[in-house]
Amino acid sequence: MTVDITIVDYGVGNVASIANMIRKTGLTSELSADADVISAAERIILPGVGAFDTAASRLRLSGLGEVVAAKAAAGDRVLGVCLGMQLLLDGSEEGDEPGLGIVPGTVRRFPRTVGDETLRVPHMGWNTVTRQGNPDMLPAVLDGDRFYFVHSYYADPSDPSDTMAITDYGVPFASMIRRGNVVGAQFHPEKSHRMGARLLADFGRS
Amino acid sequence: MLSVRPRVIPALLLENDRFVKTRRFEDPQYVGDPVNVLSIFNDLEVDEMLLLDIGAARGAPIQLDYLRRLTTECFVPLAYGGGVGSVEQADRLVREGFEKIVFNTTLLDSPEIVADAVRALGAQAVIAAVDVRAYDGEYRIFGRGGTELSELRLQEWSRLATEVGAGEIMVTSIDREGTRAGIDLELVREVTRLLPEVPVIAHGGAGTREHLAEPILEASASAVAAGSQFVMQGGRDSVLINYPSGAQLTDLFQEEREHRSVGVEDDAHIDARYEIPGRDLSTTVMCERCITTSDVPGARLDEGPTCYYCSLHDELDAQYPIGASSTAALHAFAERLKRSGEGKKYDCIIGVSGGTDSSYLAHLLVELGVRPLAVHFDNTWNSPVATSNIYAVLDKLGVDLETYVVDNTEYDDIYRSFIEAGVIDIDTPTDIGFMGVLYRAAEKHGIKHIVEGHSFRTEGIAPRGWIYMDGGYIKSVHRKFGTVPMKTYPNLDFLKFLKWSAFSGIERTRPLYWVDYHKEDAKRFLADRYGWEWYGGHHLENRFSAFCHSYFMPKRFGVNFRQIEFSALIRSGQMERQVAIERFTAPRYPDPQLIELIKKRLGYDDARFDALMTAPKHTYRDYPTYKQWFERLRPLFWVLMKLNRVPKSFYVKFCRP
Repeated sequence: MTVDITIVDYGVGNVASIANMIRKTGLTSELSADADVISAAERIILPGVGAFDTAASRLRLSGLGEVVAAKAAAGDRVLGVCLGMQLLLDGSEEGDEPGLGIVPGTVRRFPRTVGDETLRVPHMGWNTVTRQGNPDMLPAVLDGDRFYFVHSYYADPSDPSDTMAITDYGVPFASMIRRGNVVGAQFHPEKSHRMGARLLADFGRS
Repeated sequence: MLSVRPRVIPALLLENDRFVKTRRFEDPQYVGDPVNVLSIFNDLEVDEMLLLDIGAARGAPIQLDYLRRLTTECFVPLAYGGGVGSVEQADRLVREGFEKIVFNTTLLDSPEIVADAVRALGAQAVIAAVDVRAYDGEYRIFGRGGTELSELRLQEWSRLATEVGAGEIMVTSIDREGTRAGIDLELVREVTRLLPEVPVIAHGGAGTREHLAEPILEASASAVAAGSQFVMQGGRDSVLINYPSGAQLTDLFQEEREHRSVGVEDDAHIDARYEIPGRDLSTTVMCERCITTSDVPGARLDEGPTCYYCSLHDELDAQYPIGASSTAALHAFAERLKRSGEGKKYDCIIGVSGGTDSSYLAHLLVELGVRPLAVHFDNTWNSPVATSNIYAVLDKLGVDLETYVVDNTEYDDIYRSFIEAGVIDIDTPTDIGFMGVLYRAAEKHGIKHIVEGHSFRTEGIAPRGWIYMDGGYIKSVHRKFGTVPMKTYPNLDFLKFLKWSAFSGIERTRPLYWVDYHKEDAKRFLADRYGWEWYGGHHLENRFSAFCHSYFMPKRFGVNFRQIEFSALIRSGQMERQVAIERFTAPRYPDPQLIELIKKRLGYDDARFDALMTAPKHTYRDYPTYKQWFERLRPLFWVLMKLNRVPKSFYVKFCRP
């Protein structure tokens, strides 16, 4: 039996929550660390929380980074969540490890101050997104939808057309990115109750 | 103003497998079943939840297996605190579905462990928490669940929290915790000043909705956590799960009112596994007036074109005609209630469930100048709509609430006993428990009247073959199949029932009989006036009742209670017969997640559940009940019925053979 979504299990991230939310939407998922299973998967989610270098090196050492990059290059559907989204870029100010380089750009830290005010980081809580560009991908995500964010760094794609949605926290930043069939979400759809469920259902049925 | 919304976080205290609430970190009071409470908060779409294991905080092991049952119920961010002393434990918890880990005592004892956790899991996953109490005229830090004075001062602690790199801070005032006296803003200001670069959660003392906003608007906090406020209601501190609505939060934080693109939507999925086929009418005869069919026990359709229940309706309708006389009767009754309550705090007891009937009745009584005490039997299976509705209506009416929360493991054992007994009336323990709680409250407060929100015009009368209930039935089924001793369940055993109904002079009355009560109008009225919500028929006020009515009874016994309700609505002109027939004959799809929740909580795997759903059937007659006593004492109950001590339906159903 093929499952709707395969979650790349490289030892980083709250995979249980993602699987739990996918089950709630009525779709099926599996966790896998097996390169063959992931290569053959219908759609994959690249999860991730924590430090950029830890995750990037685990991806590299497990060989799963290559598998994800190959799927992206082949035009398969990939969703990066939180740190899993940041890993799609070339690299991060948080560490020295290279990212997967699927979406050109880098990951930056939020500024310490905005004007005269100290910006409290991480950006933590419920914030809204505004869509950019062509809405053909994940059309269920609408302007003003609220998602749960928790992050200190944000994606800064070098090609503006790769920004799929922006959110404002002191500075406007790319809360969703896309390139071809590869999508990234900085927020946690698996913890964003109904709107998150809708996004994952949209991805799983796309 | 930043666009990220301040977070409002229920802080829930776990002690073994129960949720409790403390006051100044002491005197844990039982609040309810964690699986159900979390699931209610989840459905209320809270911003985040914070789970603090107070046992683990004082040295007991972390309950990983149990926590896993809880995380699968949550689709909002979840933090865990209590006894986390290593990076490995923190990592396990994150993998089990917690986004954030709270470090408190460990930060005081071994800050390097917290620093390692930040490196391994990221700053965003680490909350540095500090419990503070005024001591010798200054703020001092206490570790180990508030029991041990630390040498560190707030300033040093703040430096430590910054050095280990925690992504978030939580400050709790021990002096205010559980008091509902308001958050210590001076303390919060001190912490946000010392730690300007990270988000700060203010906790301890938020008793009102306004208190929630103060630390955000006046002390630079990013979030506020509260316990008592979200699990209790009103002056009597009764257990009731609640959370402000989106509109209330917007008002509180003085945000511009935004249009939320989410409405309440039907989240039930069509799942063919659980399909309930529509009723096939070809093999039965239907009453010409309602939709009662010849297979309904007591329908007596072989005696004429209309059923027995239609004649019963007409009899009651003649007895309680709507008009000037019924209005006078209602007012006279209200005056009687007030007279009987003279010199006391309350005039009557009203059972509340969060449903339309009891909510409307509470409104009606207050309009008539009656001072009711609302009583709720929490069987730990409440749905969010129930608790929100009770909160909304009683809060606006200023009616006090008393909640009786049954022990969750004990109650699940009673439910399992009934399912295993092979009978249809598996929700009887709730009806009896509710009645038991009402009588107990009446006795305790010396109140002589219990009013019930029943209306024959909208609910009809359930056939005895479908539902039987008495305290003896519950005892005998539980004795045969149960494994957990019955200690907290408020059963209505025979002698107590006789005492309360015959000798305590407690009257039971159904005032809606005197009112031109229209269900749809009542729903609209309650929504407008009180912000009461109706989520649709398949979300009943109780999750187990919803399971029982939407799946268990139709699937296992072919019994559809909507037939009774629709028939009543047709008789009273509130529903078109044709519409009722269409709905009755259409297939239904119960919420698969509800069924999964029931299985999970009762501990049934698929095979066991399927076996129980197809096991041989039994009826209440297969178990000892009080029925023979009710029949033998029929003349006494006839008198009690005439005295309004028991409802007529009780006499008709239980005292006749």
